[in-house]
Amino acid sequence: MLDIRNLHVAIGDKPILKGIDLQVKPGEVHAIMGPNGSGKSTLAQVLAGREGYHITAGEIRYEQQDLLKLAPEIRAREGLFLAFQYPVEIPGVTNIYLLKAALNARRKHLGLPELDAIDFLQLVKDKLKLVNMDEAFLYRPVNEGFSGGEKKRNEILQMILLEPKLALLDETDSGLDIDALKTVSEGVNTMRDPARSILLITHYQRLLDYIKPDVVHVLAQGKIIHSGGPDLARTLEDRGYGWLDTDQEVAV
Amino acid sequence: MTRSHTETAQAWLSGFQAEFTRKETDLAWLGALRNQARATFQKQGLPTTRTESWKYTSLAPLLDTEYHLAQTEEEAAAQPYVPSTEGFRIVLVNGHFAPGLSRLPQTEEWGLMSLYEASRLTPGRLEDHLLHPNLESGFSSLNEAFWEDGVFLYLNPAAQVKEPVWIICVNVAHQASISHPRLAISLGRHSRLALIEYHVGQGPYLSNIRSTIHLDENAHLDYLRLQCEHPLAHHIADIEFTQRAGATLQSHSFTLGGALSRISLSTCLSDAKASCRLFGLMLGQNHQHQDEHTHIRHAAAHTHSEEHYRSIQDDASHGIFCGRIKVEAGALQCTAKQTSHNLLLSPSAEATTLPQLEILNDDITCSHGATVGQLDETALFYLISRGLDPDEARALLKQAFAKTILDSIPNPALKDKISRLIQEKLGQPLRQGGAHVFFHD
Ligand SMILES: Nc1ncnc2c1ncn2[C@@H]1O[C@H](COP(=O)(O)OP(=O)(O)OP(=O)(O)O)[C@@H](O)[C@H]1O
Ligand SMILES: [Mg+2]
Repeated sequence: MLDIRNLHVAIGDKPILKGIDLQVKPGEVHAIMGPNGSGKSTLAQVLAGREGYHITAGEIRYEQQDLLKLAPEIRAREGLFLAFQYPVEIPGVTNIYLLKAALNARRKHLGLPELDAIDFLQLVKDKLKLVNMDEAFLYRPVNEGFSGGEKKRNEILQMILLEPKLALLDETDSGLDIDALKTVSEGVNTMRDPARSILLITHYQRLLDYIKPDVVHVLAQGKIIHSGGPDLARTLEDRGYGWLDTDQEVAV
Repeated sequence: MTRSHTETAQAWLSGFQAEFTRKETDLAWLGALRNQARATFQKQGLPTTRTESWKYTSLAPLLDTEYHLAQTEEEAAAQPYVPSTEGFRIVLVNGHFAPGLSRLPQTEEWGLMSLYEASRLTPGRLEDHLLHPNLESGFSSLNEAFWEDGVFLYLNPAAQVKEPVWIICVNVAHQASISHPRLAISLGRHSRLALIEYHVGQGPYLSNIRSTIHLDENAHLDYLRLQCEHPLAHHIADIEFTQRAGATLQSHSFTLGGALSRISLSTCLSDAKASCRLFGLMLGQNHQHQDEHTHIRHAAAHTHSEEHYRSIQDDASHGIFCGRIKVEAGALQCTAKQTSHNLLLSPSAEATTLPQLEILNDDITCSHGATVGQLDETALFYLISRGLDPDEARALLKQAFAKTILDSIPNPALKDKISRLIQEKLGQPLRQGGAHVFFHD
């Protein structure tokens, strides 16, 4: 599904990612944890195709394709989805417009017929229930005036509507209350499928209680310094990242 | 040898003033008004960039052109530019009344007729309206001196006109020509009107429009102007409202066309509880130059104004918004609110925004805000990351920027049509001609 080799990324002259290797197979859920500023969002943004990042070395393959050669909109239509750490407010564009345009862009790309207004509305109403959102959110401008939790739910709504093959969730759990965390997790769990992969960026063990990952990675100072099973998250929660930093220094 | 600007203006004027024919058929008082306006022009000349309120608009492209006075034109030649509208309308072609394209009412309640007809049918009423003109710029004086025809629209007290009334100014120019449509509009007490002004045409013309619009006590006007002039054309408009006690005005100004466009819109809130809401949207492309000056004068206590202008400038276009608000010393407990937001789509595009607040008492609530920015890259990426085409995403954000102005159009059918017109303009390159095709569905 996703194969990242020796990825080096700089912003301006400043190296941020310094040799990332990561392989995600279909059906797997991976979690990426790591201190603030370590480069987790940078990795997610590079995967989604944001401009302004210099790929100084390495390669990324997504479904046997060279991901870095694909325009961001093509990546999306090919089934890559990023739930933003900070979902963007877009005054003047309604949520329903974006949802419909996004879904139809993906369907068209896949050679499927575009959905008309009526079929779309029926579909999106079903999905709204899954994330416990009121229909009124459809007619509001994208994320404008949404609370932190509502924005995150809206990301999940987009995800389950678009049915991506690879979902990247950048701190979708941050700022959620306990009930919302549960709803969001359930939303993600409905997406689990042998043909779909999920990459969760998170700071908290709690999310991983609901969505059990296959692998947990620690990203620090631009590198994956440690990978382990689901228990690693609990160890990190107890001991922090300090002991790993030490390991790395020893290893270097 | 250098000439003074009044001499330059005189030389420019001499190109077309001999072609003026109306004068002989005028009423005596009208002839006197024209003479007075011409004398005023001789002193004023045309504004120059040294004139404070014309600082950003050079008239060199006009002064370098030898204009002829626009002649009457076959209605058939103008027909394609006239939108299919419902209800009553009056059409001016090259500044001349086009009866075959107009639909005029037959009613006691209110009147809509050519200005020239009005000088025959209801000279007293017209004289009341036209007398004591406020000839602030050389263009107003020129219009006053040289109008061939125009529109007289009046509402008797309490008249309620149900359907919007259209004033359509078409120019069809085979050579550089100048027309001076003169609009005189008067709303009686407690009367109510929705008025749509549409400017369109073909060729290298200069349309020098002057409107005086009077709202008597408690009258209400929904005014909407749509400037869709030809890309070679120049549009100069001077619109002067006066509002008596309790009169309410809502104005929408859409500036889309023309090479050079200058709109001066002023209102005087002369008595208590008069209020206005002014909205504007300018869309500039290529080398278009769009200058809008508004002036709201709070001359009495408890008068209220609200003003929201937005501008989207692309390529090498330049948009200027200057919003002057004057609150007189005796005008206590007024509110005045102004915003101006500008979106630049290209490094060569320019936006100038100038709030000018002159407030002569402390007992008022006033706010203003102005921004100049570019498309939000983060928002753009967000949309694209959802699979939207980058061009579509860009068009969507531009439309979103225009939306607050469009949403404030009170008439839903009109709002829908204009929104689609704006959408079309923002989504694809500038088309030749105006928006008439758009209104034909
Ligand atoms: N546009 C930018 N210009 C300069 N530095 C940047 C820019 N964007 C990110 N950085 C830097 O890159 C580093 C990695 O940032 P990133 O957002 O990827 O961290 P993160 O691991 O997601 O952190 P957090 O857990 O706080 O979300 C940080 O030091 C950040 O300051
Ligand atoms: Mg982050």
